[in-house]
Amino acid sequence: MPHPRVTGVFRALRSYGLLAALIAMGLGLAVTAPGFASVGNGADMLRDLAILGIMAVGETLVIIGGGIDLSVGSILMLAGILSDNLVRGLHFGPFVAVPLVLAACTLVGLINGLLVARARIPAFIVTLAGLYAIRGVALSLYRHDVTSVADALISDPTFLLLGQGDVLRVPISVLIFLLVLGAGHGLLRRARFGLHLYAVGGNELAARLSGIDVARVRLATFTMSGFCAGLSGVVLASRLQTGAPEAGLGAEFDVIGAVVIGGASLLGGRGTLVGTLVGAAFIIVLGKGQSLLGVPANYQSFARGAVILLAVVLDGLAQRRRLISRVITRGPRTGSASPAAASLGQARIRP
Amino acid sequence: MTGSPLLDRPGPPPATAPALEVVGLTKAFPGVQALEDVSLSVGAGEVHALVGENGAGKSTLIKILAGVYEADAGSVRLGGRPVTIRSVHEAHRLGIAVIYQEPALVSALTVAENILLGREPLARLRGLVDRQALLAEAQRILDRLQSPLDPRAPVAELGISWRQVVEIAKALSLDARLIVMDEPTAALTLQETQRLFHIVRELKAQGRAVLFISHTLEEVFEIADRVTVLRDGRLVTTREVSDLTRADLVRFMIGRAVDESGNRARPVVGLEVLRVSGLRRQGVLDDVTFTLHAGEVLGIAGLVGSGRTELARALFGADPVDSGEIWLGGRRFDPRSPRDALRAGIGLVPEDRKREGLVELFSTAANISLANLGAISRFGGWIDRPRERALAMRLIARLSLQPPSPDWPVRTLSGGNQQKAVLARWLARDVKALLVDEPTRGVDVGAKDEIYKLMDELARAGMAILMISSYLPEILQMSDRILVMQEGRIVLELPRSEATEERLMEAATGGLR
Repeated sequence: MPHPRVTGVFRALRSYGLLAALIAMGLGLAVTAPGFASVGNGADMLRDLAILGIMAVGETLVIIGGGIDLSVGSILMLAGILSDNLVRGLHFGPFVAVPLVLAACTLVGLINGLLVARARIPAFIVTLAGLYAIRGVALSLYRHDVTSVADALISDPTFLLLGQGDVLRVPISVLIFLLVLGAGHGLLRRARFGLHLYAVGGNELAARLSGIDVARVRLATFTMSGFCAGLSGVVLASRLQTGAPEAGLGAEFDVIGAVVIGGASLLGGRGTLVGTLVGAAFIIVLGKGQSLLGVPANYQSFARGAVILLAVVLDGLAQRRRLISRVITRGPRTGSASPAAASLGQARIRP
Repeated sequence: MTGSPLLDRPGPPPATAPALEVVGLTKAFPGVQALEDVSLSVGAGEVHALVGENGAGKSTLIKILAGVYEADAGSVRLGGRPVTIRSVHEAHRLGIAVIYQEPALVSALTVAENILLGREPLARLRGLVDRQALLAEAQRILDRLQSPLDPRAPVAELGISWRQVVEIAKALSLDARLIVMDEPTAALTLQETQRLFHIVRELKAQGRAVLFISHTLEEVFEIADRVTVLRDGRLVTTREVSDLTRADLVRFMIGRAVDESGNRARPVVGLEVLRVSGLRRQGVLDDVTFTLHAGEVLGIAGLVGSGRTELARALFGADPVDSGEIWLGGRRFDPRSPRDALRAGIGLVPEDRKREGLVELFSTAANISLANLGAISRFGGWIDRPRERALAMRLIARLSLQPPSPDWPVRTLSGGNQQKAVLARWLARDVKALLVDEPTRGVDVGAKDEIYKLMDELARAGMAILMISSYLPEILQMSDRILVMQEGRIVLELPRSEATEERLMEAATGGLR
């Protein structure tokens, strides 16, 4: 009696489908949008991708664990303003300033995590409150005391490498993103933590009954999300040479959009960083292409919304198809199709 | 095998000590004595069945062993050594594995990952899982079960019986000395059950102790060495299975003399209100056919999972059916939603009143209003508050609901009064047929009697009542006619005068198969 074999066709189709759509969109824009196919624009988009992507790595972990982090945009802004204050205002070297900023943002993530995992306040509420509160803290730290034009921007050359430098024509920020992505991917695929994270998000009861410290796993995801958002903010500050109060406004929605387009479930237990990478690239390419085409902002916003909805609907359809095909093909192949199994499948197909 | 005082002292356990020994276990919940002075023992290599009606205390006993509840009094010994089980984790450490009726697995992970979840073998680099070792270990355990399951298969793709196998493998990987199985066959087909029994015999041969909870008496006779019967939280008896007949066991389970005095059979039965013919839903309902008359209480007996609740939900339009016909008052009735059912005059008092029956945060008045907004609204949708209060006050007085105020949040009411609030909702409407699912679960004795009286009153006033209950004395006391369901089918129909608890229990546990 072999167990039912898994084809994974639909799952593959889904991720490749998204990738195919991304490539098709890229090719289309290369033909139609002036300047889209240039080297400069490519590097530009990669830098945008790095900043969105670093945040999205942390967000993916949170969402797989069944949580959500709405505060990433505000943490990004906090990191920018702190960097600005330390590097430009207080002339700290980047090797002191960057660790300090990252530590502060990690601490903010830790506080989010403690409130969610230990105090058991819903993640949506905690991080919505965080979205406002952290922005408030960041604004009150923002220094307006610019004495000269030269003083208005961060000028430390080492710090500026983070967002503007290249290694072998590859932007350093992209390398940082790849590093974070790789670490996150390893964490999810190879580490015990990743296994526990999928378990916590997928079936909290089962995780608990298996002796997993559910609260600690959740706490860790929010802490890592804080770190990622902070890192992203440092890179952005380096790129813009300033920590701007308007930076990161609404960024949380692009981040969550990228994760969701990438196939993660907001109910938890499902999602990959490869998917998130493609999802983030989708958002960047879509936005950039439309800007170059001169599409008005209202249409751009609409398109982004439509893409998110479409991705989730297609995902649902793919899931449904998979379940149906499973129920139909199960019987003859396994010789053990039970009415219970069949009805289970059907029960889940029904929305 | 009650414990001698000597065993309480620390020291090497005697070689003959049973794998599990429970002495004088007692547990009370607010208003319910769930377990009272229950003792039992399971030897190594023994399969010990635990049986009893719903609410006999089996689940409480299991949950104490699993570390979910703590006992009020009594002791648990494993291999002669006294233990305290404070958490699920501790139960695992002590070598107790519990396999629940609904497998608690993570769909997103593979079989191997689920088996060793929380105890994954680690690679040399700290924190990383040694995939090779994980697969090998899982394969080793599956081999021991002689299961062909692929450890790399995602659990999401497995049916329920394969999931049971994963749960059992998980229990084995804990190296559990005691394996508790809570109705593991409830969702399995006969063939799958046989495969499970094969595994249970393997476990037995390996010298593990198995505590096996089942509702199906055939299974007890097939697999168990000894059987312990619980009733109303107390130990009835522990016997060698070979010394018992089926009839003995049923008698032990029911035990009490049936109280005939309370029977409220009604003399007059009116016109046909509901006719159900050939109702089917795959895996749930199988060719269900019956009629229900005005002024009649039709009792539906059967075990949990026999399709009773699903039948009520189907009639109420809450679940779809594959085929079959429903006729209401002589007209074809095809409820697609509870809204349809309500309009047609069918009311439901659900089994789980907290989850499906009431909005707990709302007041009594608001809960009554929910199904009666038409009656208390004016000008197309504005709620007439004075009218709402008046309606609530009238019903509260009629049902002597406590506290007698429409403003209390339903959450603060006792179980009996909550149930009255659900009933009140249907009293306010012109309901022709009322479906009542476990009307007195979690309701204290006094309120129970009031609910019976109320249902009686409604029936005498011409309402047709379909009453689902796991409590046989209640079925016998309230019903004019009784149906017994088993595995989605109606296996027995009797007038009240011919029904006995023995016959009903026999039919419900598959004696008529």
